[in-house]
Amino acid sequence: MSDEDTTIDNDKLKSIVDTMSIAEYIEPEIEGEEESADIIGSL
Amino acid sequence: MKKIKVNQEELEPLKDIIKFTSGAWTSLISLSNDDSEKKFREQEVPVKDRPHPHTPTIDLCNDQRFTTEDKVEARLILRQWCKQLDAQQLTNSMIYLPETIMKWHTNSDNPGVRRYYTFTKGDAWFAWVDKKGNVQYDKDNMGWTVREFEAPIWHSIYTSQLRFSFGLLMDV
Repeated sequence: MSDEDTTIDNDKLKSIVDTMSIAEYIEPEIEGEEESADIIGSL
Repeated sequence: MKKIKVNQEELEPLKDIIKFTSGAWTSLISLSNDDSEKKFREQEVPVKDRPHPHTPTIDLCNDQRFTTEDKVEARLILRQWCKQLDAQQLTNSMIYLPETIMKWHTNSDNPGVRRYYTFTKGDAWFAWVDKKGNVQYDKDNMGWTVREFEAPIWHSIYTSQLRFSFGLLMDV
């Protein structure tokens, strides 16, 4: 039985890390934000 | 009950409060108390005095949804606003959730001339019993409305959308 290669190549690892960092910067959408801006704009 | 012409200068402190607390009240827009205008109009005026009905509203100066800094800032601004308008007391600073009825009540626990500054973009109604005993309805403006009346008086409110309300006791 041959040893399984468990190493991840550098390109793949870079892609995973890049995706994670992008995800961290996406702010969650708050329900009602559009209406809230509409209210503030009408004050 | 009389409607007062909106003085834009008097609204500025209220606009500021609404703006800097928006982070907290934005999440209220999608909520509802499941009341309807039909239910509001079908209410019977009670026989026995009811100074204040229980209504799920959000107090801008006390609710936990707002940060301590925002609540302190709101209180300071409102205290100053009260003085500028020569009012005796701030009676409320709150937000009605969408589809909310504030049932018939009299404010008999704090009589005197009351003035309310309200803002909504939905359909909101103020109902009251006039001196002849007839129920009257007055619709909020789209935006700001200012009303004055002398408590105790039977009155009730309905709003289809978020409604900001700032109340003052002007004279006892």
